[in-house]
Amino acid sequence: MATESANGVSSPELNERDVVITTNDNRNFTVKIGVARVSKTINNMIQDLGESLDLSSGIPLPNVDGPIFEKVLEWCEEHKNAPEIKVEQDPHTRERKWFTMTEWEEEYFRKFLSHLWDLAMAANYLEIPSLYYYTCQKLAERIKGRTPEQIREMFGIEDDLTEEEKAEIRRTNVWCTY
Amino acid sequence: MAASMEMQEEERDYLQKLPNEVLEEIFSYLDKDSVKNLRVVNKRCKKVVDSSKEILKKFDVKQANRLVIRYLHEKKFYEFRWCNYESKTARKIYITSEELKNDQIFYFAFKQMSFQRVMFKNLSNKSLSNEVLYFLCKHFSYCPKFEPTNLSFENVDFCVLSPTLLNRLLELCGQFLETFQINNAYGLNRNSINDSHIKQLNPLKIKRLTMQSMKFLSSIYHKKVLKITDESIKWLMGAGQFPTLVFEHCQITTPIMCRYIECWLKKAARDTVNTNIKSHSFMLKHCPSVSSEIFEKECIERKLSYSKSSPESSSTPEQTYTLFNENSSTEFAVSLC
Repeated sequence: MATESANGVSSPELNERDVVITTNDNRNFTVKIGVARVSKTINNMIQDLGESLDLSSGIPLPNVDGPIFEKVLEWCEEHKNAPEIKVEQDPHTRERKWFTMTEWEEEYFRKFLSHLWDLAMAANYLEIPSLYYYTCQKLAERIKGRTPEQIREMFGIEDDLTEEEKAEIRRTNVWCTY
Repeated sequence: MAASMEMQEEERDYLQKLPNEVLEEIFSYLDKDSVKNLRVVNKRCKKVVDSSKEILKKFDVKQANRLVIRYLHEKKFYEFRWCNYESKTARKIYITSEELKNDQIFYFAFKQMSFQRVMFKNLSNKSLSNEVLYFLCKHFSYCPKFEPTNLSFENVDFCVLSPTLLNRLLELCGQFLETFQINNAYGLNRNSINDSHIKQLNPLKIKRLTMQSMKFLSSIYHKKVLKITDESIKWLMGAGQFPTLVFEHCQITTPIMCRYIECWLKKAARDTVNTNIKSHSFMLKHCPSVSSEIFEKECIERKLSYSKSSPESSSTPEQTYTLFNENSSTEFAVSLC
């Protein structure tokens, strides 16, 4: 995919060129194509536009706002040459294997801890597998081992189940365990 | 909105904004206990868990050796109880008639189960309803594998059950059954169990088919008969296997019964070298088209040798015949009354 070219310019050259990306709050970001391409969504847009791509007029991103895109770009810059990540399953427990993160990545999530939900949504929309899976894992880390009450409180989730319904669910939870 | 993102605000309502797909991804990292907890958080979380293949695949399929379905009249609910012999586990779950309307209520539970034997027991007073059987069929189809080898009804009132629902259940499991038993059934009419049900059984698999102590709604003698005809017997022997049969109040006739025995004896004579099958039995009770006189006549015509014995206490008019292959030690026992 990386060898394909837009504008008839070969890939390494194209990666060094700038593209303007406009977020939904009308902020313009000038980004190297090689960095923007970490997002499959943006990469597809660049390829679809092909010949007609006007690098200066910009690519619109109607679902992402400036402050979040800024954070996303930080990730893309760091991961522009990173290999694709693979989702794996433990063959014994059949549970998802957790990714091991680099120091830089750990630091990144420490810094943006209160924006994990936005990052997950943005990464999902922009199709950045590494950011998407890692953010989801971070969110899972926060849910793991908590009681339903704690989870509700932590994420401000409305409790819309009646006590009877909860009792019912607990019954089914127990029914299918040895 | 953009400005608020910069603030260290609480993560309120974020869950609402996230698509199910993202929640599913987050949840799929969690261990089984955390996932179970999520089901009690709210409706949305429960729905995401319950409908996710990715998440449910963490849970092993539990093999239940037996599932017993009962109705507890004093408490007014159905009890589904399964047990596993190896781990010595038994689990019960209850459901009221009202709750049967929600045919997804136990999706999560059935999705992880596999049942070897299914038993309907003590469903008296119209409690084997169309609703409960529909509910169960729906839930059995959630099982990753629903291939029970044994289906039985014991002490069950059939009066409100539509025969088509029994068809539905057999559609799911008939081809896997080795044993199909109905014992002490009441409230029956001629269609309650009929040829169409028998034809849903797999003649290659079924080894034992019993119907005993059948009681009918009608008290008129000629109406106390199930629409199980010679068709059923032809179907059952069609694959060259001969299940052990106990029939009551059926429309089976004597000639087909004799043919069954004749075919089995021929097969037994052929197979005797490589199998240990030495004896077989067939019991027919209260079948209006079967009589000892015709049976004996048929046997003579077919050149089947038999010996006859009547029970000493002649309170029951039961006749027992033993038919045998002269040149081998195989025998076929027939009881008629």
